[in-house]
Amino acid sequence: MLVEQTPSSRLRDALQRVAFVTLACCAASPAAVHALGTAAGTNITSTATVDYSVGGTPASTMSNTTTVAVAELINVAIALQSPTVSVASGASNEALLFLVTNTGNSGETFTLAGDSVLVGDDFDPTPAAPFIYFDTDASGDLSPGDTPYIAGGNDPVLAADASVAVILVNDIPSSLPDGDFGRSELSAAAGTGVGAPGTVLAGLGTGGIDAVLGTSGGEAAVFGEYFVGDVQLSAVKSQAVLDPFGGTQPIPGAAITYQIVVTPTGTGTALGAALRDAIPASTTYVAGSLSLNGSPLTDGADADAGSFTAIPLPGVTVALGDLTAVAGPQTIVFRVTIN
Amino acid sequence: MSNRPILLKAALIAATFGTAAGALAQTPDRGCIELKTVAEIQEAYVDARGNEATRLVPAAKVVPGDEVVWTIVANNVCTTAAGDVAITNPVPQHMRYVGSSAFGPGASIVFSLDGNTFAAPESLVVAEADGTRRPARADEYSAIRWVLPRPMGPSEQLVVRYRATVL
Repeated sequence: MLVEQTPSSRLRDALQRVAFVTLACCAASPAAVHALGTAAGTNITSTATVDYSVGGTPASTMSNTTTVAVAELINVAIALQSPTVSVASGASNEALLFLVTNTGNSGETFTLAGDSVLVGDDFDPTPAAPFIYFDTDASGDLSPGDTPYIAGGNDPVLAADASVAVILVNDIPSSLPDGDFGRSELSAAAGTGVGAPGTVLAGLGTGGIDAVLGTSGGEAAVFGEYFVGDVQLSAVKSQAVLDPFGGTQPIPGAAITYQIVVTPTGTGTALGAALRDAIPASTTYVAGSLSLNGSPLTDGADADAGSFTAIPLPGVTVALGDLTAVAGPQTIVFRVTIN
Repeated sequence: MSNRPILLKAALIAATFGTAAGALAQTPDRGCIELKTVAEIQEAYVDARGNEATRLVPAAKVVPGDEVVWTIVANNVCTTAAGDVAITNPVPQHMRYVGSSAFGPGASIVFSLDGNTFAAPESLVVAEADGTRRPARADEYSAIRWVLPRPMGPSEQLVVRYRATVL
């Protein structure tokens, strides 16, 4: 079971966080697919043919073969992987996860930079030291196995369409009121060069071919947000078994009704809280059995808050919205049958 | 009476010419129609009056996402008309045909999904894995053919064109 107030520092269960981030990652990955491009140095060739007849005799002629060389395209994209992170005032080492993707058509080295002094927010997060990490262990969060980034020392070298997960780490100033937002930005710049889109960097591509700056101009910057609130979510799960004979034996064919009560406590708001729960092994979800606070929810990923998904692993998800202590306990119920 | 030998001579020349034209058509390397393929890209520029305009420049280098304008020029270099004229161009590898971009004055334009059979866009159908059928999308065309419904006269030039995007 996984309760989320968007991957929040208030949740201390590392496994739960991994599960959440994996989902966030996979949902975002299709966007990277369109980045696939013809490799730099490829020659595109075309030859036309004409068929005709003269005096009833068929004939055919081919044209010259025209060749167009594919230059190196330098492009980069950054995608924020963390939804807004709920933090407590005074908290330290709060992570924002980004994915840096080489959307060009050749290998490229990128330099990274972070900036927490941005306009448009209520407070400036304080960059931790080190500020930028690679998510080396792919946990989706700052963990001991992650490697700090050193500018000029371990600049990421990305093959065409390859990505690297990068974490910005900030401390949150103390004495901030609930509801304040703070932003922190990650930027990446191509080592070959940056500038106006379409700029030709003659001979600077791999193997001395020309490089062209793509729509990104060879650089990208994306910010993530922290949201101050000392709200905590707790979840209590209980179950009731009903066997086919009216008893409570957990035998094949018996139905199990699960009830999960999520309770917000403390001050502030848990933004975009969601509950995810896996369907236990050797059981089957009963279609249409999901409900929130007594109101039925459909199984499809649609307008209502609930959904059942079979892939990659069967589970139910209920979006609880922005929760405060005033909202009170949220009760989620669903049923499975034992196979 | 004195005109007669000259008339005969003229007839002889005509007969010789007809034979020569037939021989030309059968020679694979010296056909009656010469074909040339040109790759260009559209470039924006500011003209002498300060207006923004576009022009075609040779496609020396391209990057993924660029649109290339392919022009095929056919010239009938014989003194005889050529019939059943059809110009065929496979959409180049690493490129995707841009829908509705094929152009050829007086020619009917047909497309192919497999490179062998050609049909009008509305007749091209793709069978999905689940057995359902749907109209083919322009980006699925693998070849384009311009069919001239009339003979191509001596010294006539035919220009056809299409656009394709670098994948």
